[in-house]
Amino acid sequence: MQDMELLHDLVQESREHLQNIEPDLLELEQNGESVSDELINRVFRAVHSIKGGFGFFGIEKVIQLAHSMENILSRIRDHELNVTKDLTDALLKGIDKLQVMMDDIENTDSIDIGPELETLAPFRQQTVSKESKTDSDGTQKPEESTIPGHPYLDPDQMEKARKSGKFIYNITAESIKDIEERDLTPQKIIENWEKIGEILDITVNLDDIEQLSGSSNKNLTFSIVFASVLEPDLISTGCEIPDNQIELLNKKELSKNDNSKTSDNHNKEQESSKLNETEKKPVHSESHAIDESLRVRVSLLNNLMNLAGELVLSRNQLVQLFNKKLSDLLQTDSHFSDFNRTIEQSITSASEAIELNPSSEANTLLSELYKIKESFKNCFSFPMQEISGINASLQSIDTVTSLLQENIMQTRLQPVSVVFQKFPRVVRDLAHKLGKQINLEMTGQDVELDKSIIELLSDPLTHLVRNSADHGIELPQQRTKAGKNPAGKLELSASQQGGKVIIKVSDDGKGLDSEKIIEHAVTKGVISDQSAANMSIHEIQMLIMAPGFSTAEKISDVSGRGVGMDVVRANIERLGGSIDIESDPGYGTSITLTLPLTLAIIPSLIISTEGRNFAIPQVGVEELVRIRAFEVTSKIERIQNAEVMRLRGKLLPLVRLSELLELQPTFVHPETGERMEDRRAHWSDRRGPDKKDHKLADNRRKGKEDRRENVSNAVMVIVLKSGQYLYGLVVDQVLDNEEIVVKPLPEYLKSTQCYTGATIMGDGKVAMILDPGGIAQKADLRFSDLEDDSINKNQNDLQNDLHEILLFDTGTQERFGLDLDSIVRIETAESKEVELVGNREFLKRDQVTFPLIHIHDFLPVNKPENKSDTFYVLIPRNRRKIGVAVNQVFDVVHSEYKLQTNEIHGSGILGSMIINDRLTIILDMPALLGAVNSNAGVH
Amino acid sequence: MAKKGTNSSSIKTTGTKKTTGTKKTYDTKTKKIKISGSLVGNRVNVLESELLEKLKSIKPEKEIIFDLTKVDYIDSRGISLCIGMYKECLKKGFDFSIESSSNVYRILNQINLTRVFPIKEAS
Repeated sequence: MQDMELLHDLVQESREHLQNIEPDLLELEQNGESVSDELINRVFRAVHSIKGGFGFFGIEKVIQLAHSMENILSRIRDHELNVTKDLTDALLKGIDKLQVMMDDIENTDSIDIGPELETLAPFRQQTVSKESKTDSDGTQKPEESTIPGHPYLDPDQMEKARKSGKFIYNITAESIKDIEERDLTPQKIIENWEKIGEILDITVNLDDIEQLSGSSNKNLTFSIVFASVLEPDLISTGCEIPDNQIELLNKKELSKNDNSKTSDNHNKEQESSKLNETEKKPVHSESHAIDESLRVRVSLLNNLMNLAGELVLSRNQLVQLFNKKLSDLLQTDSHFSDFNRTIEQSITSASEAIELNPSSEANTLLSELYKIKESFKNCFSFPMQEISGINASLQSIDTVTSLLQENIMQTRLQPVSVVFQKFPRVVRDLAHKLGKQINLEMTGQDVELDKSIIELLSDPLTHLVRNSADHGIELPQQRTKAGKNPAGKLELSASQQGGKVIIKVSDDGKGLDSEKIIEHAVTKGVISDQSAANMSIHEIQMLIMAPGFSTAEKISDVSGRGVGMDVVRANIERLGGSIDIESDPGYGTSITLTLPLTLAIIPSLIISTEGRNFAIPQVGVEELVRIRAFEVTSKIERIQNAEVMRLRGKLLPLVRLSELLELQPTFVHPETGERMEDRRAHWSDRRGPDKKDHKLADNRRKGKEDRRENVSNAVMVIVLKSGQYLYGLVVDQVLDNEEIVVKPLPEYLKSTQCYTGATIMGDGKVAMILDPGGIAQKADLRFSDLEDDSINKNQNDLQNDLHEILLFDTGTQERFGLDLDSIVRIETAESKEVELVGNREFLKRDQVTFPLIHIHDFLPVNKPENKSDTFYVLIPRNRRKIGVAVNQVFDVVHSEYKLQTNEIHGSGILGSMIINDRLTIILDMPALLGAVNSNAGVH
Repeated sequence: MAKKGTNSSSIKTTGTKKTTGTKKTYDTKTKKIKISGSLVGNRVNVLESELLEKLKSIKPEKEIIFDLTKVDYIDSRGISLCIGMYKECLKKGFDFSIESSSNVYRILNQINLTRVFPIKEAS
C-alpha cells in the first residue's frame, strides 16, 4: 500500500515535470543554439528525475523512454546536436507518451513505446556511434581498469550499465555496522540491492582478518561496485548505507550532465568524490527551497472549505442572535430604568409624606420600598459593559472567520498558467499542421482562480485557441495580401477585475464574417430569415455560439465539428461565467470570458415565494421588473395558454416559481395579515379596475384603497437568462443581495432540475439555490414560438413603416428624434460624475468607464449654452459602450418616417419631420457612431 | 552465550579416505573438517574456538577441506570465520578449500571468495 502511495506521488511529481518540460522544449526549438545552458539542464534534470524515480519501481518502459530522451538531451547540451523541428517533434512525442504512461502507470507494460523510440533513435544513434569512436580513439576503457580493489570487474558489463544511463557507485559495507547490527546477512543485502540495481562486482578485504583466532568478531569490509538508476541523493537510502561510504564512479558523466563542461583531462581520482562532500550539498539547498510548499490532498482542502463555510454560517447566526438579544436587553434595560425611576419617585413622595405626617407604619413601608429597590437592582441590573465586551469578541470572531475562509479559499487558488502553459505546444502543433505562422502571446499568467474552475476551464479555452488558430488566423500568403504581418498574433490574457477574472482570447485574423454567419445560421435553421434582418452585428456574432453552428467551410480535425462553441458557452455558463465576442472583420476577433473567482461563494439574490426563501445566482439575473397591481392585466398576456409579459416590445415567457415547485398558492390578507389559500386558476386572473366594477368605484369614492390596487399585490418578475433567451420568474418578494456559501445538493435532490445547490441563511434556514437553465427546462418553455410572435409583430411594424421614435433635446431649441431600436438603455447622470481626460469626457458606471459624447461635436447643430447639473445618457447599440449626453427625454411616439431631407441633412442625420407639431431632427445612429468611431480620440 | 537447542552443530574430523573409481579422490594428506547446522551469530564464536583446538591437533597435512555441505545458512560472521580459516591454513602451510551446500556456495561465490580459494559446490 505504501508503495502504491509512493508511486502515486511519483506520478504526480512526474506529471509536473512533464508539464514544465513542454514549454522549455518549445523555447529550445525557437531559440536554438542561443538558448541558455540553464534551460537545457532544466529539461535534462526533469527527464532524469523521471527516469530515476521510476527506476525505484522498476517500471521498464518509462525508464527506457526517459533514458533515450535523456541521452539526446545530453547531446544537445554538449552542442553535439542541433535543435531542429524534427528533433523537438521527437522529444515532444516522447513527452506525450510519458504522459500517457503516467495516466495508466500500472499498465505501462501494455503500452507500446516502439514508435517513440524509433523517432528518437536517429538522434540517439549518433550519440552511440560517437561514443564508441571516443572509446576506440582514447585510452582503452580507462574508467573500468582503474577502480581500486576491483581487478576482476568486467569492463563490458560496466560499459553496458553506463550506457543505459546508470550511475556507478563504489560502496563500502562494514560487516558489523552495516550488516550484523541491522540483523541482515550479506545474502539479504545482495537480494535487496538487486532490486534497485545491478551488482557489478564484490570484493572482500582479506586484510581485515589475519588469523582464525578472533576472526568471527572482526569487522570485515565489503567493497561493491553497484550500478543503479538511483541518483546520488537517493542511493544511500536505497542501499541503506551511509553517504560517506558511497563513492560515485562515473561522476565525470554526471558533472557533464549538471554543469556545462568538465575538462577531459581530469583523472579518475579527482572525478570520483565522496557524496557527502559534493553531491549532497546542492541537493540539500534545493530541498530547503522546496520545503516552502507542501502537497495537500484536494479532498482535505474541500473538507476545510466546507468547515469554513459552516463556520461562516454559524457566525452569521451568532451575530444575528446576539443583535436580537442585545436589542431585547436594551429594551428591558430601559424598562428597568423606568421602574427604578418610579420607585425613586415613590420613595421621594413617601419620604415627604412621612416628614409631614410621621408614623412608624409608614416608616416601615418606606424601608420596605428601599429594600424592593435594592433587591430589584441586584436582580435586574445589566452589566452593559460586559455585553460590549462580548460584542468586541464577537467582532473579532467575525473578522477571524472571514479571514480564515478567505485564506482557505486561497489555498484552492491556482494560477491560470496551469491551463495556459499547454497552449504554446497546442499552437505550435496547429501552426505546423495548418501551414500558418502564429505567435502566441500570453499575459497575466499569475492571475489565480479556484482549482475547480481551472480544471473545467481547460477544454473550453483549448477550443477557443484552436478556433482562433484554425478559423481566425489566415495563411501567410493571405495575410501578406491583406497587408498584415505574415505571422499571425494570438493573444491569451488573464486579468482580475473585482471579484471576477477576465480571460481573453484574441487574434488578428480575418474576423467573423457576419454575412456568412447569417447565411449559415439560416440554412442550418438556427434562426429564421426574418429574425436575421433584425439582428445587430453583435447578435449575429453571438450566433456562432448557438447550438449546431460551425463557420468552417471545411470541417477540419483541428476544430469545428459544429458542436464546439455552443458547448464552450454552456461550459462557461455552468461555471457561473459569461462569454462575449467582439469581432472586427479583417482585423481580428476577441473572445472574452468572465469568470467568478470561486464557485464556493457566489453573490446571489435572495427571493421568497409562499413564505420560502430561495437564492438565485446573480450572474443569471438580467433585471428585476415590478408590475404594479393595476397594470397586471395590461402587462401580462396569455398566448397559447401560457402567460407572457411584454417588456420593451419583447415577449417574455413567465414562470411562476410556486407553481413550478408545486407549492400551495397562498396570499397574505392585507387586513388580517393572515396567510390564506389562493384559489385563482392563474394569478393574472383578477378583476381589473374597470368602470363596471362598482365595488372598486365605491371604494375609490370613499377614499378607501382596494385590495386589488394594494402595493403588496404588485407582481415581482425576475428576468433570468437561460442561454441566449430571457424569461421571467414570478416570485412574491425580492429580499436581499447576499454572498452565499454553496453547499452541494444531497443525493436525493439531485434529480430535481431546478436547483444547483443549497445554502444556509443567516437565520439558520436552508435556502435552495435556483438554476435558471434548469427552471426553463422544467417549465418546458418554448422560446421559438415567442420569438416568431415578436418577429411577426416587428415585421408588421416594418411593413407599416412604423417606428418607435424617442424624442429628446440637448438643451437647445432643437428637437431630436431617434429610432428607439438603436438604443440599449437610457440612464440619468450628474455632471459631477463626468471626468475630463484631455478634452474628452468620460462617465464611470459600475466600474466601467466609457466615453461621453455630445451630438453637437459631430453634427452641425447648436451647442447648448448652459450645462445642467443632471442630464440623460443614451446608450446606443454599439460594440463599445458609448454614452450620448442629452438634456431631456420627452416621449416615445409611434410614427412613420415622413422625412424631409432637403432642409436639414448631413452625415448622421436621416432628415427632419414634424412630430407633435415640432420640427424634429431624426438622427441616424449608425452613421453617428461611425463618425464617433472613426474619431481617433474615441476609438 | 552460545544458543543451545536447534542450532546445535558439530565438528567432525574425518581421517584420510581413499576412494576408487572415476570420482574425486583424496590422498592421505587430506583432512576434512565437517560442520553442520547454521554458521550464524554467536555460534560462530563457539565454533571458532573449537576449530582452533582442532587445527592445533592436526599434523601438518597437505590439504584441509572445510566441509560446509551440511551448513544451510551463513552470515557475515560465518564468512569471517571462513576467511579466518583460510588465513590460518595459509600461515600453517596447508592448502585450504571449501566444500559447501549450494546455499552457502551461492553467497561465497557472490562475494567472490571463489577467487581467493577453491570452493566446491556439493551436488
